[in-house]
Amino acid sequence: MVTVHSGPDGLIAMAKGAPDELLELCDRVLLEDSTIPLDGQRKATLSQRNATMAASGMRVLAFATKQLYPGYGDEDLDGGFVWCGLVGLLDPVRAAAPGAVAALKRAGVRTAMITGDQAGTAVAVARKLGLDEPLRVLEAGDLKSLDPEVLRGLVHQVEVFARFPPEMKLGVVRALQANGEIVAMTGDGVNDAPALRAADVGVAMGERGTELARELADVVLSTDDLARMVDAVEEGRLVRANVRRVIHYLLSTNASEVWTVSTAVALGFPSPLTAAQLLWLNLVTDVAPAIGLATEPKDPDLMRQPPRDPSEPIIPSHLQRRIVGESAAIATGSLVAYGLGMLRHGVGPIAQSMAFWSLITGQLMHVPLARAGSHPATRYGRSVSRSFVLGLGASVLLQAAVLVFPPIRALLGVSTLGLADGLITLAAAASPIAAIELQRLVSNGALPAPEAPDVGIVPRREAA
Amino acid sequence: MTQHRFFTSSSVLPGHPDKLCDRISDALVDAHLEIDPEARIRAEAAAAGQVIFLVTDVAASGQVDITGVVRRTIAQTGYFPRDMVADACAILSQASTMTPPWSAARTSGAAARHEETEQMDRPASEQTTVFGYACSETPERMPLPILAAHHLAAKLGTPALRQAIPGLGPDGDVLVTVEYDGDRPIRIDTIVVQLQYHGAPGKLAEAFTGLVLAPVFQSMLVKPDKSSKLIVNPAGPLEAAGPARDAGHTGRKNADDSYGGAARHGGHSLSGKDPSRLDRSASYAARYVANNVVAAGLASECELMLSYAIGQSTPTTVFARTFSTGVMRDHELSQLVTELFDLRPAAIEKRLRLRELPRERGGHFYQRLAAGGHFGRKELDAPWEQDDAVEALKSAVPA
Repeated sequence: MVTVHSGPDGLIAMAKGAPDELLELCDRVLLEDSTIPLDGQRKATLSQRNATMAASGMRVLAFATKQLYPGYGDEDLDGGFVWCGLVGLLDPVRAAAPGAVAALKRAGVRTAMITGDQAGTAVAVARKLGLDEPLRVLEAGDLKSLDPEVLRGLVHQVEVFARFPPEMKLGVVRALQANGEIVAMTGDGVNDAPALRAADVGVAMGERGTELARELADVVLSTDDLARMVDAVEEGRLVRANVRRVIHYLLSTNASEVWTVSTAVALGFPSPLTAAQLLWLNLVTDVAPAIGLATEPKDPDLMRQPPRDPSEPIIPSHLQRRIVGESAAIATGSLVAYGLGMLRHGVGPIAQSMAFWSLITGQLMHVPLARAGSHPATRYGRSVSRSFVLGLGASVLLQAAVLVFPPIRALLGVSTLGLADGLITLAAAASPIAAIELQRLVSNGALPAPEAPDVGIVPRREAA
Repeated sequence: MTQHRFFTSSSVLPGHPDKLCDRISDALVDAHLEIDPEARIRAEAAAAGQVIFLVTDVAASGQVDITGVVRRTIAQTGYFPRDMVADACAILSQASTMTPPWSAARTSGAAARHEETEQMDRPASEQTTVFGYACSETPERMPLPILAAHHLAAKLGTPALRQAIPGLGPDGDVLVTVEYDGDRPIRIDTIVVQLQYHGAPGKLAEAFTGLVLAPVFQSMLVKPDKSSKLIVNPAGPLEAAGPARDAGHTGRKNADDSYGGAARHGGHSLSGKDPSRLDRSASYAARYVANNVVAAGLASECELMLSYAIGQSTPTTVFARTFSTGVMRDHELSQLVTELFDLRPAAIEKRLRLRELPRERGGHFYQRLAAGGHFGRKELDAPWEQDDAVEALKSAVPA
């Protein structure tokens, strides 16, 4: 940047800017009270000083002046300056930032840095941040000269974008998105606004950020601390995991009711469940475990997993199949209980009660399975959480209330069961759950699968 | 009966995309050796469109403004703004730091002397075979075709000439075919130049003849005559220059960099390597020896093969071929060379002062070699062009 000022010594042009650019404008160096020619040797020395300052993470600015005379033209500002010196500004990396970068890396989030600084400074800062080595640095002179397709190819493998003016950030965001990446971008200035808006997650700095940046951002970091982004990602992943647990549980239990009733009716039997019983199952049995699942605490390896595929639906097809299969299994159990009840006692309230109790027991036994997602519940490796116990316990207590208080039984039209019927009901409820667990154990490799062929893969030798 | 034969060599202008990459690589070598003569560096550059790709591996005691060096090198090339602007292009760099396998400890006194001998015994860190060559075709002891091509390319690249021929760009190549009678060059058969030129058509050929051909061949013994074919831009001028025209890469002009194909070549590139890389230092040493053999009159043509094995400091092969022009048999000459010249890697660095030259020449040494050939460059006064071993060679020859 060059400005012209008039002062006691006449017109003076003053320039500040990137050292290597300014060096090209200068032909003399200012000493204490004289100037000497700036030869190649001195230029090399100055360039080296700049590199040394930059390597310590300093932002380096060069200053130069030139005496002008009235009637000067633009071409007078293209050279002939006197080199005044270099100033290094240190913008220290926040103490929490390297930890945040490392945590995001573990979570499969790639961190790249966009800065207006020259490559030397940017690399030094990136090393302090702990970005992936070897660092690949893209120093753009003028991004407009780059074909968007080329930029797309480049952004893919760059950790540090150096000498990028803020208005060029939008191009980087767009290029990353065009590669199918989900981009979160931090910013604080007015110039950052377009990129904040274009990013999938625009993150504004609450303290340093301008009003505009805060307004356009999706997330505002009130303390300007990048570590809070790690918390935000973790929170988001937790919410998603728990929503999935709840949907898994609710859909499979509700579908099991639909299977039970529709299958029995289709086979020409009276409905095993009354409307009141169905309401009880839906409103009372489901709610407490669902709340428990929704408030599950964080999984310890939640932030050690790669991010999900953004195109993946919240209930992916493998979970859909699981829900259908598991609900059918639970329904089968209650239908078996219903059938055996009809065989022993004929069509009537006892058979209905056996179906009812079997369904409720099966559903409650399914809670740990829904919590574990696709893992075997017995090998989930996580201690039972408080919310899980509270949710399941509350529901069990409610069922106990049915057994204990005759008015509720009367309201629902169910009866208590004798020992034999009770055992039949319990077995009918537990067998499908055991079958599901067994299937999960096998498919997770916890139990040996039947006869896997032995492939001769020699373990790779550890690199020396 | 004499045998007529033809030989063709080519050279490129400094703005050629491959040459730009060579020059960038060697500018980085210069910059690092200037701040630290003991520095180690490997620098590979590739250029395509408006993007320079750079991979550096450095061990040096100071810092170099790497992208600044790259931009300055591009700026010095003098591309037209529509082809490349040094400040506007993008530089994608991957910089890693070498961990020195050698001991960086510097001691003093007796220990230093002991260390000195040890350092001189530093073994080769890579396997390589290189060839050096010299002949008596020209005073530079270079084959005429490559020498003429380099001189034409160098002249075409000078700022003064570009001012004299407006519209002439910094990219292009030059091809020279020489006719030989036996081993003696007798005439220039063909000169083809392919240049970037945005000017009045027809003017270029005329300007080329007057401003380039005449001065370049003025001092040469063989000059173009009426029968010589002179072809300027046979397929029209190059529309663009440098990476805007074609992608470039360090180390792709190995024949141009050496003897234009007149001697065998180990296949290794020279640019972008510090002197500890034998690909480079041994190539210079081989030229130095061959040059002195010819200068001493032991042969009028000499090709020296040097080969190194990892872990050994003395070369595994030292073999001179003289193509029946020598005063002694090839294996005797090879024996003489082995006895007279210390060709251990550290000794080469020291004798040819490969580590000190960039600092002595104001930070511009290897990058000058990178354009216009590494050998036969009288104007650069490179140590491997000096015939200071002539006396030793002569006195060692049994009378």
